[in-house]
Amino acid sequence: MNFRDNLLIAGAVVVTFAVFSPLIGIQSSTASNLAETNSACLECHSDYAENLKNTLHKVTPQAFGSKLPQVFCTDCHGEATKHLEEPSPENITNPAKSPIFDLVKNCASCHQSEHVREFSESNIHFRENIGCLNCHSIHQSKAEALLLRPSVPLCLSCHTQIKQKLANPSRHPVSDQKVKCIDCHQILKEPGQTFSLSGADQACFNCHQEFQGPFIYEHNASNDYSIEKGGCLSCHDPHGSANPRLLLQPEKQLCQQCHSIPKHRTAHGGVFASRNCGECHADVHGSYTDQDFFNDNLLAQNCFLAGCHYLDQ
Amino acid sequence: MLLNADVMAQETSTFESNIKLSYSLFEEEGKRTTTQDSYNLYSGFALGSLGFGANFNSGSSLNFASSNLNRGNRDLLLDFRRNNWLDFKLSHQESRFFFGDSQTDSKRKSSSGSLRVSPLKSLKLFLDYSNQKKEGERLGLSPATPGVLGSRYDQFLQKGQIGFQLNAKRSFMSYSFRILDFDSRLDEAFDRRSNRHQVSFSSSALKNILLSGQYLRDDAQLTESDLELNTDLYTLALMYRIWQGLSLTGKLFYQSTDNQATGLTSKTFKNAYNVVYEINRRIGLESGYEYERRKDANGRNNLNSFLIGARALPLDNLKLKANYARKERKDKDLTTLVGPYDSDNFLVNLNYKPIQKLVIDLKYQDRQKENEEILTSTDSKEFTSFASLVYNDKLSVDATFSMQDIEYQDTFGRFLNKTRNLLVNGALQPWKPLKLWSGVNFLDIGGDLDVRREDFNFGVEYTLPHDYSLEFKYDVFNYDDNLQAFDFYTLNVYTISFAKKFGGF
Repeated sequence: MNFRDNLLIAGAVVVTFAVFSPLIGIQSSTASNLAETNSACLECHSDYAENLKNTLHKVTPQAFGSKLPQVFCTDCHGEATKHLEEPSPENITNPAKSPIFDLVKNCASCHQSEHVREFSESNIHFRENIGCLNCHSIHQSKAEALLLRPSVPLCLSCHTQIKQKLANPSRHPVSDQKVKCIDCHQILKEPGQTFSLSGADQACFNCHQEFQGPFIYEHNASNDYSIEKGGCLSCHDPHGSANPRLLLQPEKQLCQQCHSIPKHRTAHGGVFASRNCGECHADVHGSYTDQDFFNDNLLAQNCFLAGCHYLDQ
Repeated sequence: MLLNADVMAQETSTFESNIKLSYSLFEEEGKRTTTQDSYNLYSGFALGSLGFGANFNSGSSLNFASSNLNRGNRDLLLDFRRNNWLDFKLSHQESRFFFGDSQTDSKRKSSSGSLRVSPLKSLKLFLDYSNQKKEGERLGLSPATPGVLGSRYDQFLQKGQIGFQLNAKRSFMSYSFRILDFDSRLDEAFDRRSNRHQVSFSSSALKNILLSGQYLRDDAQLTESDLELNTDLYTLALMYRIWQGLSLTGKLFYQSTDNQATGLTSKTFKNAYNVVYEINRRIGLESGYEYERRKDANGRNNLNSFLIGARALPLDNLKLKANYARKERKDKDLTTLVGPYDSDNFLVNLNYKPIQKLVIDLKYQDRQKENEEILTSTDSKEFTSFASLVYNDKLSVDATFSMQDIEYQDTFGRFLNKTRNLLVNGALQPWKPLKLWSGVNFLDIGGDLDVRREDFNFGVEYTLPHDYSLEFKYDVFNYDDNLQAFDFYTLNVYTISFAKKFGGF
């Protein structure tokens, strides 16, 4: 990326900043109104005050009038005057009973993040009528992010078919608590994390960086941006597999799906017909030395001395 | 001001801490490589857990949690929060993997730190750093041959990110810049760096609309050869509620990747639309369409995807759902190796709550994929049943049974995988100081493989006076590959732990 490109990006950021700047810092309620209303809420709903005490949703006397991020009952439940006069459930907004669209908008009034942005991108949870409160318990939970339970069991309580994948001999270490679902299916993190639209490979490369290009000799099957539309998932099941290294099939058969090369069955008396392709074509994710992904170490086995095979340098 | 501070969360400082000491005894036989669950188990003495949490009357909190500090699978997390405007986290994690003959292992160490500061309600600043070290020995895929990938690897990955987010009127705009450095200490040809700029925005300011978009520029470079892989990515997404119950989502996506190694610029364009219609509280429908076009100097192809689905709530405690999706890729010039293909995906789901604390969930999924030009196909059928019972906070049991049959067919032959899996977990707390739990996992992989796994665990914890507690755990892992005579493994682990919690002030 040259200096001009960097300058263009920086310019775009400054322009966007300038557009958004006038919108900042507008508050609708005065501090005294807020204090009066919210303290009245907690007089009746005192159990909520106790539950929220150690969470980011706690309502504290110091919060009123603060310029720092704070949360009040009325932020989610809206105007409460009528409910204060006649405290029945009908006289107050209950986001839990709102349609998912309204619920998300309600939460998004504070929780502006990639999580919300992702939700607007044809999100499968939205299509399944699943909203914020299916995972988060606003008044009751004391867990991180107010989750109903730890994130992995929470995901698996609906995605039950994944449990069987994770029981396989080869799997990502989810049950070992070394990897969480949201490490790959990121929708919960801060800006800078991308997954939903830039391809599944990006999630893999967060840890398996050695397999990201550029390679001098690329293998299209491992590139999800190419016209082949390959990518890691062409060969691996990230949740778990009966085959080593999360492979969808035993290695030899996996390669044969796309590569039918009859000579391999007859050359050298057929000795290679039963061997795994990766024993010679070692760098299947991409090579720095050879277009057939041979590794230099094969030189030591004299494969390139007789004049039949060539190592492309 | 009518401020009744008594009913609000009065800030009083609290402090809690805990320590757990464990001793594990192993009975082990066979090849450890076969059983991933055993990789991060250690025998002998362990500082099982050590942690503390403090909530100060100023609104700050400090938490530290750690496990297995004296072992190679240690985990540490330190988190400091100051009201809602500052969050500082440090974490460290280690693990290991066994490859080949179980004598070789690979170690992973990951550390990260993050700082979030919100000096104003409308502004958030963030700074992240993480690194990951992978080091170890590696054997070839076939145990009898030397490793052609090299017998060792030693890699160090570092990522740093800085950015800000502006929030205003139910909208946000953010910018981040990430630097990545990958260092393969045994082979400089692998070393690479990348710089990434990302700008994104989202807005729910308009009444019936959620709007979002992003621009991302990533420049990856091999440091030795200067080859670059440059990516530009643009997205724009809209969720629009046309009227109550009917919503439309649409997204546009464009990515251009310029790979100097191949000399190709690959361009992908997608647009997708989904309509969700809640006819009433009991019935909902959805449908979707996505068009994707891929192009480079060698050719172009396109992919059409269709989705229809319905869900019903015939009873308040019974949910039914069915989806069908189809993809068709056209590649009339056969510019790709795998050529055109089509795939079908059918899913049906039933979720029933006969009583409040009992959930029964049944799923069936049928997936087919066929590459007509290269004569390969995939046929997958999967059934999963799940039941969960929670009784009075004293008893919880959940059971999952799944069956999966996958058949891959190509011109040389086929691979058939028939997997059956039963997972049962339960916990019982007959009275407050006593907790019991147990679980079983039966896995049977048939078809062209013949693998069996049986795992069992049992544990009991008794809380003594003054917040002391004693715990005993028994875990057994058993693995048998009936086609590979030497691939078997049995591990019995007996663990006794002693813990103490220290109360607050």
